[in-house]
Amino acid sequence: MTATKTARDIQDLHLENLTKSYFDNVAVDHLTLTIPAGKFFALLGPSGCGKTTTLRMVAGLEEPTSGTIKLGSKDITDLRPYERQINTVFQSYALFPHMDIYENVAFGLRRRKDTSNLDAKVKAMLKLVELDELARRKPGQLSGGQQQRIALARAIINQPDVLLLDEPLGALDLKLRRQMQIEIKRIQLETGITFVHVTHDQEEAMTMADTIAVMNAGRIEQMGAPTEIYERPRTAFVANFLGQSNLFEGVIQGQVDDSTLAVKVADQIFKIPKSATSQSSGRIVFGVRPEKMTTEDVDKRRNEYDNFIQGVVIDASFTGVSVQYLVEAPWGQELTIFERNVDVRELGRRGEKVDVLWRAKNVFVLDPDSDINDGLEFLGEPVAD
Amino acid sequence: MQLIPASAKATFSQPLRNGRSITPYLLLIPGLAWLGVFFVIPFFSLLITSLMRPAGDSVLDGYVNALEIGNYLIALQDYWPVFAKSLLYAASATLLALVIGYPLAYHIALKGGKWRNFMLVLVIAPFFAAYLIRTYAWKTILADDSFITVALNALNLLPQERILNTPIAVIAGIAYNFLPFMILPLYAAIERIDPRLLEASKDLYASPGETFRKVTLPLSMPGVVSGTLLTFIPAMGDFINASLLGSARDKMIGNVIQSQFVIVRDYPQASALSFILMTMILVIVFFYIRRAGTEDLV
Repeated sequence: MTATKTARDIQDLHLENLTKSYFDNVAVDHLTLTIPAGKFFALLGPSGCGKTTTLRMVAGLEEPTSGTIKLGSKDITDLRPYERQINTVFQSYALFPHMDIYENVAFGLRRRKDTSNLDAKVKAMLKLVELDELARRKPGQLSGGQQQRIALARAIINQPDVLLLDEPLGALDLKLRRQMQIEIKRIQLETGITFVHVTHDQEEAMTMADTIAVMNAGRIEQMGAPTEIYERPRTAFVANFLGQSNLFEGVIQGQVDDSTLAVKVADQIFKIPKSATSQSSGRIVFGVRPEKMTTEDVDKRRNEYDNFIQGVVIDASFTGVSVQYLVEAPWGQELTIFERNVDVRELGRRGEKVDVLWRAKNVFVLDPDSDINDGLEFLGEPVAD
Repeated sequence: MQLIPASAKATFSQPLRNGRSITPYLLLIPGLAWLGVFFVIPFFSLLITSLMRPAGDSVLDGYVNALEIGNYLIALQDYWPVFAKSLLYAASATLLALVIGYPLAYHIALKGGKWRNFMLVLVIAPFFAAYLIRTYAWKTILADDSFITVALNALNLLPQERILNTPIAVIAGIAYNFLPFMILPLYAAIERIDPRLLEASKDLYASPGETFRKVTLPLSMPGVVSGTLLTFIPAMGDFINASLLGSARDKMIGNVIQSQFVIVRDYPQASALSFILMTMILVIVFFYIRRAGTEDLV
């Protein structure tokens, strides 16, 4: 597979000013995006953010209101779905219930009259997804995970330029989902096909994708490698939707030294690294990830960290690998702290006074006009430690 | 209630030992009683009648019980062309109803949108008028001076220069009268098809025509099978359309049975004809369903 793939020239997928509106409702709003050839690309966003509509436009199942879709330099905007070298793995798998697994997988090749070595190709594909012994079963006799893999095989056998995956793991239970994440990633590497994966599951996107585009209200909020957008989110939406964040609004007071700025939040001064922002004055919005904060007895280790807040424990829950604290800051803001279960102090009790500590280097700075509550309504599962 | 043994009475609505209640079985009683009184008893009565022989020289003398297998032979000998014609008319009408009904059902199910229920009401609207009245109306619609006949004649499309009193009228009448029985099961089957399967087919390089042949049609086969059966079976036994819209030469087996029963009063002959018709339909349906089940029809 790898050989045939690298031999063929796969093209980047370009979306230019892509817009889809239904009456007054804009689902996708002037989206411009380049998806690099041969990469695993994730479109991440809450439901209703336009990611599935984008995917369906690329597949040709939805007609854009305006804008163009190009594969390399070829404009494919007006091609019918069956004229595009693009295949989709549907959320519900959409396997043909009246055909057996073999015929499902062979469907695309048969329709394209590409039947040379059909049998060998189908068998090789079933082997790739490790289900070769089920060729004559009907889809209804397969488990969800097996159906998922058949849906993948049915699409990949056509050697598309781009494979679209629409929430492909949504219907699977957690354990199977993890397993399939690794499986799909392996298949992507083996085939070298460009994968565009639509999901609302941030952990899934981070596990699998080379590049993530976080989408909100029809627009791309931020795009980059998983580590980059996790460590340096630029908007409050990204900071809150991709993992959890403690965000603060403050005013820059001046420089502490050459590399550190002093920022006043409520009545307290915090240090943030100068390299994290181009601002030197005015309102500033910054944040710290919960796992980069720690709690400690009051006034015990403040000198080891750059910043502290003395707060009151509202809630502490032990999850095994970590303790999750909810601490109220003096100005009423609730802070979330994930503390690794290593040398922890005794579990904090409700109402206990604690120091919340963090280092300046772990601070990220958002666009100054960010609303720190943006994206909180979609708060999902926290990232596991 | 006397049919229920005392032991069963004692456990009335109480769980049996294996944890099941007998209530479901009790609920079957009205249906079974209905079938017994109005199907099983008449069925055997008809079977017995079909084997009777005349008691005297005149039909007025009545008939006596016998084992007159000859009734069947005579019925087949005298009326096999009518059976063949009935089969031809019923099959043609079924095919016509399928050809008209499938696109309609497809459209209502997949493109109907908010008009879907309204269109379904239109499909069953003819039922608001009685069968006989509808068929009489067609007598007028197909009459020699009707606009349809005049228009088709102007185009030289009618070999016999008329519609009424020809086989075309009988077939068209049957197709019209049973069309809702074709459309409704087809609609139900097509409506059940997951639209994502059609999208998946398009996505996998199938043209609209191939999507229909490889996905939509096979998945709607249950509707095709039940629609054709619901049309074909009553059409085989129909006599209203043939007697109102057809000529004397277009009589179907239903007409023969009706006249044998009501006019000639040759009850054994009429019963034998009914039994032959029933057997014929059963055999045809059996082979049809067997083939449909193996996807050979696709």
